[in-house]
Amino acid sequence: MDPIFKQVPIFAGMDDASLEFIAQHSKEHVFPAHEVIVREGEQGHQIFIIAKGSVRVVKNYCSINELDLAVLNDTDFFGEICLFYTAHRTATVEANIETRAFTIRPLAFHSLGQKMPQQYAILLLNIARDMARRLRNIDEVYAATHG
Amino acid sequence: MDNIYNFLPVFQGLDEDALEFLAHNATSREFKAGEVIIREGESGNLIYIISSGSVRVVKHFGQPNATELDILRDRDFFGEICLLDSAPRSATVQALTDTNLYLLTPAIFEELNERMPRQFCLCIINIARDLSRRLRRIDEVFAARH
Repeated sequence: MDPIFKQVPIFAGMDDASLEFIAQHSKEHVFPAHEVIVREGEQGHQIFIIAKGSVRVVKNYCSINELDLAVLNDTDFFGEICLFYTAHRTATVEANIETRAFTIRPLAFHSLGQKMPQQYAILLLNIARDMARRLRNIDEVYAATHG
Repeated sequence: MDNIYNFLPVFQGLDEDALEFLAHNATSREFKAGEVIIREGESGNLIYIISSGSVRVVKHFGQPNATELDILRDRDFFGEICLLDSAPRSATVQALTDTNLYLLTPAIFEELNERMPRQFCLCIINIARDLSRRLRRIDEVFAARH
């Protein structure tokens, strides 16, 4: 198992057996600098975990109203919405520098849920906690600009 | 068991045993129009499900820079973030009309996780789906304004 799996916040609190299971169901990729990793509007079928590198998350990529939403670095994740429903990618993600990442398909997580439901619950709580934090941050910004 | 539970998005996909368990452990409470249900900045440990009525979610409630974030209605839920972390309430929720709510504690969900972990996972997936829907919507609003 790549050591990154023990460092990723969304896997915090999970036991070795479940991390091993996820690692075995993951696939490693290296994206050159400036390569588009996911494209807004396309169907998404994978969650990405950044092992080493940096990416930017962009709405309306390469158009006049392009907007940077976030920069993600080592141990961050993206694409998690495909765990919860079938939807188009909501933003484009581009590698800032050469980036090594692992992809995991929702099916692997669902299998984890069948085999080790309490480990799966920890993972889901970690992901939901991260989304809640992002929502809280963005609500603060929204209120600051509209109040 | 109160059948409304079968139709709540937050409990979508749960089996009868899990619904029965949650219904059995929930309490209900009525709030009058205008009443504040939760207040920004306070610590909170209840999850609320609207059985009837409507509420508004407001940042900086009662201040000149008050901003309405959302309006929630029958079958919507709020306060669920206390399942995830112990941060203070991030906004105030005020009843717009007379509103009936079901109240659940994180401890009830912890017990559900102990007894029926797969059913608990379904609840968290439903909550996460709602969070991602809200994130997506607010990202769209931001992108449209820039």
